[in-house]
Amino acid sequence: MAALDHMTKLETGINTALKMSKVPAKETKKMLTARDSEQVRNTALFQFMQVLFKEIGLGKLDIEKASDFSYVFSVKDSPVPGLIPDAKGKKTCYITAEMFSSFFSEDMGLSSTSDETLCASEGYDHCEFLVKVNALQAYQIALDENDRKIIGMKIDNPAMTVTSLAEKLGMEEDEVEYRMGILKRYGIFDKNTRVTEIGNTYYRYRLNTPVKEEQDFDPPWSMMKEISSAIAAARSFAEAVSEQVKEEKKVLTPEEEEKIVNLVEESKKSRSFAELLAKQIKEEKEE
Amino acid sequence: MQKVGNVTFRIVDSNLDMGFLWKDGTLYLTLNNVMLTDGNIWYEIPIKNLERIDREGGAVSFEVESMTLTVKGKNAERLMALRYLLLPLIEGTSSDDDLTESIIKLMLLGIREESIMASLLKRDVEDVRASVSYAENNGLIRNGEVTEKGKKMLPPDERALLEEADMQEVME
Repeated sequence: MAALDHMTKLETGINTALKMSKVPAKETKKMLTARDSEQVRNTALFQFMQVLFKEIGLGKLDIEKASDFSYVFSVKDSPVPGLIPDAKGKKTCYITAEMFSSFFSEDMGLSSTSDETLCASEGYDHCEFLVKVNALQAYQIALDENDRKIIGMKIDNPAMTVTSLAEKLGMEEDEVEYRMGILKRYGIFDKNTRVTEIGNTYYRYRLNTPVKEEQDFDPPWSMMKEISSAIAAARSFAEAVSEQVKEEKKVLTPEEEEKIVNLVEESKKSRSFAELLAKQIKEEKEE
Repeated sequence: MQKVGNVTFRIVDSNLDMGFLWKDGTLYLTLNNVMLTDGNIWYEIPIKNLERIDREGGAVSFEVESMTLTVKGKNAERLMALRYLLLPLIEGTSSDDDLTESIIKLMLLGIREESIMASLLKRDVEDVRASVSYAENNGLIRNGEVTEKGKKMLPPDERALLEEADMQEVME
């Protein structure tokens, strides 16, 4: 039962960390626009995530793969698989998968799906998690107003050339070419620089969605000391509560054991009762 | 039997479409069962029979056959920790709640084509289709529209923003 106490400490640490870790959009953009895992690894945001994992006690975080808005994170020495020995051979790290999902959505403003794809419980020497970010929200942060103007102009006039775009936007042609290369990479333009269905969907989304005012604030790693202290305090509190609760063990008396209501059995009885009731109603209707 | 914590709980039976009112009780965990008492009656759910364990805000719901036991308590982290301990033991547990939530968000933005959703979410069309079916079967989507129950899956501030976007789409 120490497993429940340890898991509670982890969950308490995660909740505390998430509350204090809002990331400014400009820092999120650096991770979103990184072209590979090496570039992601060099961002302050990813290095912050690594420290958080260590402080919470979730293991050693690294990044294996990064491609447009899709990331494969690895975690070594996670304590979670060892807490659930009965699940050997299965994936166990739901707490970590949901932590990625919550961090991306609540702190980075990017809704995402997060799945564990490899687990130490299955015999590997580490765990892996695939995080896929909602592309529409990623575009909101990764693209700027000039990118959106290019998309809008191409929607209005698909044959518009780089030269015309550069002239209308007051940009160098090189810059327009560079931006169009990124828009192709993101699937907003096809190889012929025509706007795709995704591109049209994004443009419509951008027009229809009220724009949240971008706030400029210090990134959470500027207060790493406070965050670490808060996580440590939360974990200690969780431990103290667990110790107190541990004292309250319960052993059922024979009388109590006889009267236990097994909800599975109750469900089977109620299904039989419901079927009987349905049959009676049907017979009455037929009469 | 280890005490998990003091809780408020409710049991709903979907066969009979009835449920009890919220009651105060205490939640326990044994090696094989989740146990709960209101001080008079003891309820047990064998862990091996658990079909789903969902989170709804700070509450946790255990589903077995037609019964859903929902618990909430002051120590929400401890309830979540229990959920994380038990999830790997349930056969066929999938973490596609995230995908369902993402699909609901896209639908509120007026995006209904499964191929576009799949591209935006970088998932297979089959996965998207399965999640849409799941959402329809569970009353989260009806006739191509997100229901109130579906909207409740979203965090409040995100829900407000998306509902505003949905309104603008309707007005156009």
